[in-house]
Amino acid sequence: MIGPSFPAVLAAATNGDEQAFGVLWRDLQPALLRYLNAFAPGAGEDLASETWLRVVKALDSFSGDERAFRAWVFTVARHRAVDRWRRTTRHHDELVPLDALTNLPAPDDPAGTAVDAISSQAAVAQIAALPPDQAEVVLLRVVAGLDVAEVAAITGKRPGNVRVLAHRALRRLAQQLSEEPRVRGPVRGR
Amino acid sequence: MGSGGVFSAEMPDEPSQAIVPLDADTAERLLSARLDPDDAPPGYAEVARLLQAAAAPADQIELTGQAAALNAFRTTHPGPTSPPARPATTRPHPTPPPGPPAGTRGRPAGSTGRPGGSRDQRVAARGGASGARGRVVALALAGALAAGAVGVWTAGGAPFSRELGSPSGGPSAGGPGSATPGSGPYGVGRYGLGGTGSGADATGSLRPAWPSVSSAPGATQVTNGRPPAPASTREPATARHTGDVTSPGGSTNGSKHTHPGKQPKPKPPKVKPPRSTSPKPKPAKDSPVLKIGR
Repeated sequence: MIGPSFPAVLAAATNGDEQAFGVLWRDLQPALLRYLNAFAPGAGEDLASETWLRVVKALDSFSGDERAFRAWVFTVARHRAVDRWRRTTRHHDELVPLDALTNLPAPDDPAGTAVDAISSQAAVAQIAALPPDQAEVVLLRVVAGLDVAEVAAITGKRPGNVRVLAHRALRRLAQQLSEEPRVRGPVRGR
Repeated sequence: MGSGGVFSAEMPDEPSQAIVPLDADTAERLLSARLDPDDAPPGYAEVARLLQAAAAPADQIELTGQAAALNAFRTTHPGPTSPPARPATTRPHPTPPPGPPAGTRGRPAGSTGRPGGSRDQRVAARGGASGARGRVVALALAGALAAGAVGVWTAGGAPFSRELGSPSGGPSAGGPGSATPGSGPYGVGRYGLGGTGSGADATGSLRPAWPSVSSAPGATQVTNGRPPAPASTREPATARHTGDVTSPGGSTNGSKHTHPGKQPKPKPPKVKPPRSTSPKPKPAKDSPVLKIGR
């Protein structure tokens, strides 16, 4: 999160200040990549680029605080992901469903071979292995840092439904991890 | 026994039954990655660790595309919506352009607006750019500039400036009455606003081009054979110029730049006076030069 300087940063970026846009980009790009890679493995960077292009073009039409900006960016990202999913299905490309991620190999010895990024990727992959609606709710809550109302607005669900999905996802994760711990390694707080 | 049963905490050998139901507060702390794994309820320590890993700060790998993103921003951004926020020290200005006081630049956060600012701002920017262009032509008319310089600038000013890369030249292009002089480098590409873009381009091209215009091969080629009278040299060049930048009403005439968009392109009114005030064709027929020519 950028914090109190966000309005000034946003205003500068809207006026074409590259450094200000870089601040916005650095703040949101990692979360965008993790979110998009969970839904379109291997295409996260392309989708993130498309997302930023849309964001830049419509930057002057945005009004709101930092949380609203995050929610807006992730809404754009979600639309990009859905559009891509539709394109790939229309062109009969091989689509990788979220369920296929359940068999992703996790690092056996993260302490020796993994770095922090891999640990983050493995964690996101573990979350993405949940049922799609649960995975999306958890990713938007945890990775994007959005609250229940914002996630409900993005996903088109009611807030109560979002809470239920999140609880089920946490319980499912707990069950999976208690049976087979997959993600270890260094954990860094926010 | 159910996984959320009473005795689940007493059966650590069966981890699936060691998971207790989460209360709302604990779930919220988990989902915000603020719950320490040591403080997590039974069965959720790994979940807390996993969610913290998922919400970990950015790695360098995830930030490798910053240069490309900034490039895309540079080419995609529709341009400033208010007076430019660039520091005024990037280019020296002979006369500082009028603008808002320091600290009030830029659109306030939360407000919305169209790209390019309000209509008044865009019109003013166009007017300022036309004013700069008009001043140059006026100088040429007065004989202060070589005709070649005018020809080079009016024919290719905008392309030169793009190649020279002077995107921050807007403010110095402000003409009289310009509230947002030369409001940025993106005007030509994005909006086709001849005034806005060419205003910035005008200063960008004039400064580096003038010293070298006399020695440039293109300059002599353009000016050779042209009479010093500006009426015949200016008209086709300016027409080409406005056509190049697709200005809807981009006038190159200094006297008309305050009303961009209202003036028809192919009729610069200043062209007529030199032609009308010199009714020489009729006497020229009787002149010996023409007779000799025939």
